[in-house]
Amino acid sequence: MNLPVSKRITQARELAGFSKAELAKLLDVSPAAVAQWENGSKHPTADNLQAISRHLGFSMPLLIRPIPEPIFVRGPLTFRAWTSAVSRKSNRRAFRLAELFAEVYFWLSDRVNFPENNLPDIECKDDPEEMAQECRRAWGLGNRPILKLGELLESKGVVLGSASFGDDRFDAFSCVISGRPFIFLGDEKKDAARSRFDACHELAHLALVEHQQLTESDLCDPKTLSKIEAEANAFAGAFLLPEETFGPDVLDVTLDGFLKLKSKWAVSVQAMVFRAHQLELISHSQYQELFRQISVKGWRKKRGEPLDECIPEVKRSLGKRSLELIESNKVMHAWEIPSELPMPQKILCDIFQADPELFEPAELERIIAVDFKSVARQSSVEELAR
Amino acid sequence: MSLDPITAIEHDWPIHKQIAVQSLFQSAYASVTELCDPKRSPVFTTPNQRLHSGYTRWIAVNYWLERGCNSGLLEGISPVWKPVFENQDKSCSILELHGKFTSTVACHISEIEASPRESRTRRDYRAGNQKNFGFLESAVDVESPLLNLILVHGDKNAEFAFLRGYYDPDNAGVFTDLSGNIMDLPTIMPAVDEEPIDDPDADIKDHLRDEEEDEEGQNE
Repeated sequence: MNLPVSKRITQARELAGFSKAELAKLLDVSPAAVAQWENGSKHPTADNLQAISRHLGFSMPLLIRPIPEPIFVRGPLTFRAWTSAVSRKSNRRAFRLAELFAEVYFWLSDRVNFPENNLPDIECKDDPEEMAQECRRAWGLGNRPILKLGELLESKGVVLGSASFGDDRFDAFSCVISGRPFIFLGDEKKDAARSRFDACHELAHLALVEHQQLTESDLCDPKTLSKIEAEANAFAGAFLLPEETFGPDVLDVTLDGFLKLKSKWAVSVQAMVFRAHQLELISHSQYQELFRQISVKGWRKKRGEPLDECIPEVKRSLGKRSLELIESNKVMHAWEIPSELPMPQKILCDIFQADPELFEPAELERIIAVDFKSVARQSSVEELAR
Repeated sequence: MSLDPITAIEHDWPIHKQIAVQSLFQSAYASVTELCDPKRSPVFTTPNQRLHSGYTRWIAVNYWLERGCNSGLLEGISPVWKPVFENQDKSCSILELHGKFTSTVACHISEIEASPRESRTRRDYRAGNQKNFGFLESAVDVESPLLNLILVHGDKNAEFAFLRGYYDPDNAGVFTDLSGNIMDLPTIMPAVDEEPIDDPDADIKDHLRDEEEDEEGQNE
C-alpha cells in the first residue's frame, strides 16, 4: 500500500539531498525502516513523522497531503554542469523541486489565468542563427537587444523559478510538467549576465524539437549531452546577440570595446567575445588573446567582470501578480494560503516573490492583542474615574 | 612661435575624446567607491579614510586615463609616466597625456574654482604657457614645446571636469577654461534601443472575481 505519506517522505528526502541511509542516521532508525516507510509496507510512528518534518522541512499537513496525480514530468530535465558537478542525487533534487513548484503552480492555475504556453517548436539546424531567428520571429521580435528577458519568457507561458542547491557550479535546468514549460535558474551566483544566458540556454532545450524528445537515458550518453549543450549555447548566443544588429556594433575589438557594448546587449564580455568569434568578426588568435586577457584580469572568476551591475536581472512577476489578484478579489489572504497549500515556506516565498512574514498570521494576532490591551486599559481608566 | 590654445584643443581634445574622458572618469570614480568602501574593511572606518580615497582616486584616474589611451579611446594621445622627482626612478610618477600640441595632467580639486595644489613643476609649466596664451611681452623666457593643460576634476562623484590652461607663474589661480564641463556632455553609451516587451498578464478566474471590487473600479 503506497500512502501519500510514503511518497512525500521520498519527495522530502530527495529534495533535501539525503540518501535513505543518511536520513535513517539523522532520525536514529535503521535504513530498512526508511525504505519500508517509503515503499508503504510500514507506517512511520507519529514521533517519526515529527522528526521527519523537523529534519526535512516538510510540515505535517504537507507530509499527509497526497501528491496530485496529474503532475508528471515530460521531456528533459537537464543540467548545464551535468558532467562536472551534478550527480544523480542533484538530478533527483531538481526533479523534486520542480514537482513541488508545479504543485503550487497548478493550485494557482485553478484560481488565476496565466499566459498560454506559446513556445515555438523549432527544428534543429546547423546554423544557430536560423534557429534563434525562428524563435524571435515566432514571438514577433525584431533584432534589437532583449533586456526584459524574464517578462518575455513569462508572457510566452514559461514558468520561472529559482533553485538553490548550495553548489555554485549548478547553473539551471528546465522541464515540462503537464504541458507547461518550467525554467529554474540557480541563484547561487547572483550573476545577472550568466542567468540571462542560462535562461536562453534552457529556452533552447524547451523549444528545439530534438531536445524535447530526449529521454533521461539519452542524457546519460556524453556525446548526446555534449551535442545538445553546444546547440543550446549556440542558440542562446544567437538569440541574445543577433548577427544583423550585434555584428555592426563590434567595431572596437578590445576588451574595452566589448565592455562598452555590455550594458546595451546585457550580455557578458566573455559571451560577446565568443559570439564575435563565432560570427568571424574576430580571428581565432584575437579570440584566444582576448580570453587570455580576460583570465589575467580575473574576469572568469565569480562576479569578476566589470559593469555586471548594469545587467538587468531575469525578473519574475507573475507569482507576485497572482498573489495580488487572489487577495484583491478576496479569494483568500496570503496568510491563509499555507493552510490550503502547506508547502515549505521557502518555496512559497520564491513562487510569490514575497517575504515570509506575509504567510504568517502574526498581523492578525497582534491586532487582537492590542485590542485586548486597549480594552483593559480603557476599563481601568474608567474604574479610576469612578 | 606660440601655439593657439583653441586650435590645439580642437586637434588633441575634440568632443568625442572629451566624451571618452567622461566615461573614463566615471569608471575611475566607481573604482574608488568600491575600493574605499568602509564595508570592505574596518581599517577604512577611521577619519583618515578620506586620505585613502584621495590617493586611490589619484591612482585610479591615472590608471583609467592610461587605459583609455592604450585601448584607442583617446587615439592620438600617448600616456607618458614621469617621476615626480627627477633622477629618482623609485619615486611616484605623474601621468602626462601627450597629444600633438598639448601635454595634460589630471588633477582633483574640491570645488570648480579651486586651484590645483602648487608645485615647482606646475609653476614652470605655467611659465611655459605664457607665450602660448598671448602674453608675449611680459612672458618670462621659458617656452614650452607643448601647451601644458590641467584636466581638473571633482568633487566627490566626478560632478565636473574641465580642460584648463594656467599661465601665470606667480598666481596658481589664474586660468582659462578650454572646454565646457566634460561631465555634462552627452554620454558615450549609445541609447539602448531595445525590443518592446509588455509585462506578462495574469487575471483572476471569472468565478472568483470580486464583483464589488469591479464595480468600485468602474465607478472610479
